[in-house]
Amino acid sequence: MIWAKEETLSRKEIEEIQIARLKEQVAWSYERVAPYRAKMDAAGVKPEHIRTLKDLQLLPFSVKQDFRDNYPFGLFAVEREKLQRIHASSGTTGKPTVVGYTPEDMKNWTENVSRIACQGGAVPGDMAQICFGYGMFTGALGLHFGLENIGATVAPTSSGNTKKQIMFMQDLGTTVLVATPSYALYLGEVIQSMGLDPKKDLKLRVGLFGGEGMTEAMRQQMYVLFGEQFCATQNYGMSELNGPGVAGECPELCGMHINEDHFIAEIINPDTGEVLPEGEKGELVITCLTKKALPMIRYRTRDISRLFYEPCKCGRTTARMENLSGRTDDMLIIRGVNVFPSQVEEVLSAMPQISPYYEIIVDRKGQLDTMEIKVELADNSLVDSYGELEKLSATIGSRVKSVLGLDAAIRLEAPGKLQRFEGKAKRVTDNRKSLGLNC
Amino acid sequence: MKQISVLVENHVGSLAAVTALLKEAHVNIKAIASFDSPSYGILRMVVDAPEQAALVLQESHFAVKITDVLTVEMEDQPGALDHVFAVMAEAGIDIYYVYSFVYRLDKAPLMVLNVSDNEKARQVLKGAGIQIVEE
Ligand SMILES: [Zn+2]
Repeated sequence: MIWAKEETLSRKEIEEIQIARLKEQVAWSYERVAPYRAKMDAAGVKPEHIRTLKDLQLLPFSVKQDFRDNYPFGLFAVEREKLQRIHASSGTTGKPTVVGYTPEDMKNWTENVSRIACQGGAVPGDMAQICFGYGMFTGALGLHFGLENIGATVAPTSSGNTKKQIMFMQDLGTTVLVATPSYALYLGEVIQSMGLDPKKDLKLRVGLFGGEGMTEAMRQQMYVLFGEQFCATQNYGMSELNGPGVAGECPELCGMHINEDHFIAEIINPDTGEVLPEGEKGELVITCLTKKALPMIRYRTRDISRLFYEPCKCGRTTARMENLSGRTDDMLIIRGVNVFPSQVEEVLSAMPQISPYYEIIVDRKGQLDTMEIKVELADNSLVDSYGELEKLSATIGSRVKSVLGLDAAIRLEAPGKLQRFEGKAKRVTDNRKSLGLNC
Repeated sequence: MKQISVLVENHVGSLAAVTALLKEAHVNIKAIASFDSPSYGILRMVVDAPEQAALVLQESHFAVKITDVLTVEMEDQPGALDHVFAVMAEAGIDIYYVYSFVYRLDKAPLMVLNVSDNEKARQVLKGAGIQIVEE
């Protein structure tokens, strides 16, 4: 089901909306957001220089640090009294990122989430269970309002208490699950360990996953746990860009459709800031076209993706962003080689003997960086054979080497041994940082 | 007879972690073997309650597998082991590994064998007059 007519416009129509809104938004920011005006002045750009979409490249970037420098309200274009809602994302260091919404922003946000919910397969009348933590995080309330808006029934079960989640899932007849993919997999494992058959004992049909990237390995595991009929899609957003609702997958699973009448996506080279040609991989930069309380122009997401513009088989014409292949801040430099944890994950996902859970531990012995990958056996069938275990370790090691060009020590762990996460999974431990090393 | 195999890490205390759990569960270890390898070890045991032992260990996130092995009673004299191995070789059965019980049941030494074909091994050993202990 396609929620809005804006999802099926021609390229020309989309671009007409984008340029009109971009001009308005740049003027709005320049007038009302002093820190962004200062950046534009420093770059010698005035609002009237923006005539075509190509002129977007003239504009300075916005970055996470801007939020810290202007905490809490310095980037806002309206007075606090005009805000209807405040959210915040927890910073790993220092102050959180505070974001806010005018009533109009709330309406746009809700509409955008409604689109991605429908894209993912939700329909009016669905029973949606939201297992994101409520509170200041945008994910829970974002999906909550978007799903209510399409006419779904929403159960805000929030995070934690897995047994109770499963009880509600059974008793309410939940059809749509909203969670991080890690938590959904954990739920699925508990459901199976309780002896329940998701196909018979649950009515679950759709999974709308977000909060962290879902790899293909995780998606395959969703089918194992919840059945082949399960429609497992992911969606994309972050609090700086409203929250969820920037983009989402449709059942064609060929990238996430971007709500282009509200967001312009660009891909840049993260080192030089230069815009890359269509189809090339780099850092995703998003410009918000309708956000009034907290306008964001050319926000550097630090997520790595690429863009496709051909219309999709699902009938939508909006550009698609490829599922994330990591974050610029997740990138590890090991012995001078750039490594994304997602590359390791792709290798592991191709091997049925191991589960999708893994941990990477980077350390330094003497002058040399070392990488250890802990992987979890899918089951206990190989445990009595040194030969099989060694063969498996060696195969993983050589495939990792062929992808990364690096040797890694492979450690096999028992099924269920590696940590499951309710929120974002922490897959990497870099001990070099605690050694005070520069890397 | 059932054997349990446990994947253990190569560091100080990893074997003790297993035996402590079994002690707590009042599981008696009757035979035990462990060999080193560069990255990990497999601890193999015959215990009086294999299912319970496996459960306890799995709850503590150890990888555990239960397999069928043969336990044969040996005569306490030179050539006894040779006799067992010769019988197996003649029947074309692979022996993957052997280890012995930590105590002698009554009097005779007991040897655990993991082989390529349990049923055939059982037959040929019996045919050669070698006693197999089932429980
Ligand atoms: Zn589509």
